[in-house]
Amino acid sequence: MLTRDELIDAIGAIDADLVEDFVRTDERLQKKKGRRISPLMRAVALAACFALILASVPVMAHLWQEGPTPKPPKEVPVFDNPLFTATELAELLEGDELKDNAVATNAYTTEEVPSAEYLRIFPVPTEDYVTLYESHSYKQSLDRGEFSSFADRIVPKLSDALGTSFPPYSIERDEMYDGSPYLLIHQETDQYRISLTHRETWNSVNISSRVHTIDLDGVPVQVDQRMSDEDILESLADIKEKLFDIFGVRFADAMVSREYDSYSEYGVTWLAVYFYNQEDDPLHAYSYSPRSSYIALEFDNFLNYNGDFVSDTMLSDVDIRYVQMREGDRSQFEPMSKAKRISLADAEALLYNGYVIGGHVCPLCMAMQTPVEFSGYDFVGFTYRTGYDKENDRTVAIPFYTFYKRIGTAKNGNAIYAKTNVPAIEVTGFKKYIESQRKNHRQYETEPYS
Amino acid sequence: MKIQHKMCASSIRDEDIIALYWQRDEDAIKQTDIKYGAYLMAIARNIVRDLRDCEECLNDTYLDAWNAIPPKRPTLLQAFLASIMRRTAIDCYRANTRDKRVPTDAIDSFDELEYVIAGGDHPAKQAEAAHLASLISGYVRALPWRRKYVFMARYYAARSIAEVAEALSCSEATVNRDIARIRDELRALLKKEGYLC
Repeated sequence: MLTRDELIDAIGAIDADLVEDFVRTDERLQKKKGRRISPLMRAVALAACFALILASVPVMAHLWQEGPTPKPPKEVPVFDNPLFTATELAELLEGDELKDNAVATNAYTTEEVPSAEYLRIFPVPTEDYVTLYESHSYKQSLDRGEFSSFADRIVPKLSDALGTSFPPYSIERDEMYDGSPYLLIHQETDQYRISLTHRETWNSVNISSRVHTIDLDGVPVQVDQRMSDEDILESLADIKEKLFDIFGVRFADAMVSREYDSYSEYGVTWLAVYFYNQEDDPLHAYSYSPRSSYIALEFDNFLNYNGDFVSDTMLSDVDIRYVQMREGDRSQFEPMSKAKRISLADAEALLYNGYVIGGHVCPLCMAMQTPVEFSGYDFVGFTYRTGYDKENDRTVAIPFYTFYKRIGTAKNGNAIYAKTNVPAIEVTGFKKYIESQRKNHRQYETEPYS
Repeated sequence: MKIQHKMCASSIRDEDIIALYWQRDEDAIKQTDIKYGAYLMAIARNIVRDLRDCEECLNDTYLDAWNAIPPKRPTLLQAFLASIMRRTAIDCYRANTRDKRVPTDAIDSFDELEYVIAGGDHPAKQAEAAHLASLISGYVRALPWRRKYVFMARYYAARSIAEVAEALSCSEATVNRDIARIRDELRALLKKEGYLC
């Protein structure tokens, strides 16, 4: 019989190159999270532009476009005032560890959805100029007093609402694997687990249930996944007020995020409801989840363990999370500069030549991807991608066009879309850089993976 | 060879550290500790928890590295050390478990593997470590980028769900879904290869 120890040992004897790949990826992820510096004065000077961009967001609400322009140009555009070379942009987004062997060429990611309206496509701006953003994170030293106050403020109200009594808490100090310290309070009863953490940048509360349901003042926290986002938010009005009371905070905005996959028979695999302030970060207009303080209700609808309950109607397996940024309700991202937005026709020219930065950077995976012909794409939208600027010690957000092309239907009936990205600003050196990457990819003699 | 673990980084290059090992210069251990001590301690802490045990594992890892280099010349020192630390920490964990010093449910990620092998009462063939490792390597190699990372972080480095989610900047539910798929796929693979019925 295959024993657990044999399996653990076999994983321990996994090929060395996979371990090396893991270590490099780990390092890259740490770099991307990176250290950040204080806001620069130029951000203040650009505040007016920033306000204009924000003010324009509601106007753009339904402007994401369907389908390509009639006759896409084939010539790769040459720009007069490029902000980046393709090499620089790739290194910025993916980290310098990858520059010698990977950046997306034909790469794309896939999204599975019941129908196209579930694709979360952000509208293409109509302005000729777009804003680039930079972000700053103010790490603060850990403060037991602050953490105690945070816990004392929340735990009694939480206990009352859950109808349970948690034992007196103690604060423990621990470290993440990268060495960053944090303080932790963990408490359990027969039904609930709560954990509070105090980190250099934020405080948090997590509430989960041993029986996969949470009642607040006797009201079950649940949603009906068949409802529209608006109806879901309406159905949670009472729960929202209870949560605002427990955490002593109020948020003006809310969003619903849903995820689907290719084989679940139960509709969504995950649904999250976020309460947050839209105005706290300009990139909220292009995000699936908040970047500032928020309350989240995360409903899991995936068979993880024996006994998990999955549903195609009501969702009740929920975790509740409150994140409070310690720096307060200020913007994480602030305007850095403005740049000319390239035309959709130019973006299509880059797309049709395969000059994309697709969002999935493992060269092996790219070698295994079945190429997708994006001409005749189904939708185009807009987004921001972030990368760590090592030289200037900051995280920057770069605007991109996003192109969607339907590539098939999953066995559960969900539509499968390929998604890839083209920079929405002037970039040069695509041909030289991406052709060299393609050459690198060809060293992997791997059959396309479907 | 007692090493005082330091939480600071070193700019010395791996090639230079390996050269020190080859020169049999004990400064190799010091430089290794400065550069990778925190990383290795994190691996140990995910598996054995007890700080004294972790420090013992760290010292054993340095000793094993000292004995292995030369003749070995690792291509990536950090990964080489991580492999040694994982093996050392698991040996320590097993010893502690036999002695009842660590509750068996302390290592969630290893317990999850029970699901993979559950129901394997009538195996078609004996598990052979090398073949099994090769099989798993092939499986991991074919995984998409994120799930590959989740597999290694969870089952190789024994990290918590929260830590993996933090590293990937995604929710714990997302990581849980990846883990569920990995376990189902791995179980199907082992079944297909005759390790499970």
